[in-house]
Amino acid sequence: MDFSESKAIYQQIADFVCEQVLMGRWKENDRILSVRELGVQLEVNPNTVLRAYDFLQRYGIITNKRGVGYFAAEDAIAKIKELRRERFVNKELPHIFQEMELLGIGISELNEYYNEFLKGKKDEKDN
Amino acid sequence: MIEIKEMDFGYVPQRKIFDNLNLSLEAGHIYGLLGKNGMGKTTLLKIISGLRFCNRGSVEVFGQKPEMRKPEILADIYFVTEEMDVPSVNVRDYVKIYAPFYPNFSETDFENYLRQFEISDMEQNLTKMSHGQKKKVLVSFALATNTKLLIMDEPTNGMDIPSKSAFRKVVASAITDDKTFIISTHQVRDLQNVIDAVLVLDNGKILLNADINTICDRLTFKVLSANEFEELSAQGKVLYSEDNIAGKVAVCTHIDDADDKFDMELLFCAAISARERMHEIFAERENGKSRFADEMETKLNN
Amino acid sequence: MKNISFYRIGLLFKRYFSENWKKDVIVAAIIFAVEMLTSLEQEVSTISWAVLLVFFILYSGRIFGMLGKPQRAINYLMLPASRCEKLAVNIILSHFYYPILLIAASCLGIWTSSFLCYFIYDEFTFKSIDFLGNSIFWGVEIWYLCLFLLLNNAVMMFGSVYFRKAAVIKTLLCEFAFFTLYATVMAIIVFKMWLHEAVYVTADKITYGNVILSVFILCVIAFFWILSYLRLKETEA
Repeated sequence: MDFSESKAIYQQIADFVCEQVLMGRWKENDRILSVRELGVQLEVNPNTVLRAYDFLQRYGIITNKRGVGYFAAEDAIAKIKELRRERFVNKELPHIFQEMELLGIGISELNEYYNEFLKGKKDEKDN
Repeated sequence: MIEIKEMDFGYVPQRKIFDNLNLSLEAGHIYGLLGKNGMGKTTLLKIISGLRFCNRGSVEVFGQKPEMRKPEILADIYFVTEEMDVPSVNVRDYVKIYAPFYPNFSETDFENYLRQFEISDMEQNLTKMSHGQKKKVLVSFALATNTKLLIMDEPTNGMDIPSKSAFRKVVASAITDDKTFIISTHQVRDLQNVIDAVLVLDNGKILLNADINTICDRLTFKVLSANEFEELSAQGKVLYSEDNIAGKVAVCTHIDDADDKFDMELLFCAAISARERMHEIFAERENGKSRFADEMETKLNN
Repeated sequence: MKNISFYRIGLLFKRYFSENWKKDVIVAAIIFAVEMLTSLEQEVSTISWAVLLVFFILYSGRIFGMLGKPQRAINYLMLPASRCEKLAVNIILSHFYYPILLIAASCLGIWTSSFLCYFIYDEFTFKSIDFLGNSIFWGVEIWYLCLFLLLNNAVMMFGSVYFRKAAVIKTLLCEFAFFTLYATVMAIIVFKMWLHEAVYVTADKITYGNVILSVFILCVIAFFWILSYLRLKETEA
């Protein structure tokens, strides 16, 4: 895993876990790697992994069964999407709006680009 | 685990290396000891392991004075020095000779660590190995002794890139709640993600002793545009900044909705260039009383 | 006592022998060969003390050499054993094991030459060993020999604590220089003042001169130990 400069390590670890669940590598309701195992795999301090797991637990993405380990929650994927949605609306959208304001791009223009994007995606699928 | 109080030390009494140094370390952490050359990192490690004696103050490891060199204490401390002196024996014999001194030594762990480092030849003589190979064997041995305190002085020096990655893996797998690792290093980027608490040694004192969560709570590491930089500077929030392609990379006092990104190299630069501010920011202790206030109090009492 | 565990003493011995047995075997083999060859022609053999002493001096240099190299000293000091245990092991090694090893190798060499003579000259005479040549004062000489060994160890330790590199050679040079100076001064004083009362070893009785000399040597030994201790305290460890 390449640790990008823009995020805290524990957030990157949380993203990594979410990614594994979304990609279906780690299934909902299944046991996930222990704090130590993930620490070794990603070469990070187990305490940092623990912080990431705490964070995910708070959002209900993973659950901790005492003495057994951590499990992906049964509605993990929905929770992850919810979390991402929240982050997109609160963190990324303001940036985009700011940039739009600066460059004079209106919401209707944005709509055009969006429709184009959807069309392109559809074409790709058809081919 | 380790308590150093009001410690003075100098090789010659006229030149103090440590002046009224206080340090308290807890179990379960991997401490990164940072400091400029000549600030006495190695000396501090030697004092903790009982190889040198302080001139004033007290040093306690596991509640005992390390300078007594009691066998039960020594059996719970392992010190991997930067330069190594190894006997002329092969790896297998080395373990046979030295492992019995350490009651918690685990042969399985040792073999695991060696495998991570890709050392398979147990019959090779230690004196015939390269510096990096020797270090890998000794680090594996040190971790396998399962001592409560493990001190490593510049452990990644001389290691190649895959070995550094292996080093992070074995260290991450070896730390437990009852162990303390202290790693002194200049190669901050190598170890940034395995270290979870930072000690900065500067001018005879511990300038900073904080775990990374606390650091992220109190500081913000951020790339700033020219405008942002000016705004924050005006508010006196910028502790340290460096020019970079993206703009200015700065260490600021905590900004609420920023990502808690962390960069140890920047932290170190900020610590040694804005000593006073750093001290104030981290002086607050959990009980609300600041370390700074404590010091002022003792000074007044004296 | 809490500070002494025979298990750990055993481990320290094991450590010494595992790391050094090859060197010790080589030294013993050299001594054995030298003694065997030099005693072929004689009926009564004398151990070549000169050879033994040279090896003994080099050996003490090696034992204490570990204090001179900082890394080695750290490894040694960090070994989980008490100071008493480490000291006991070192004293046993330097003051008992090694002299006995050297003397045993010498005796074996001499006795082996008896058998060799049997094959060469076809007659078997078991060679007796005269430990100290024709001296009739061997009691006193053994005493001085022991003192010499102690003194040598003390000086060697001192030397290895002071010199970081090539401690043995530097110590020997200093020792040589010191004793030349000492001998000159003593010769002048002794000849002028104490000519008749004898600093020389003249009898197997305990004489005035013997006692003074013995006490003096013991003081010098203590002096070197204390000096080394102080130096150790102020530098490494």
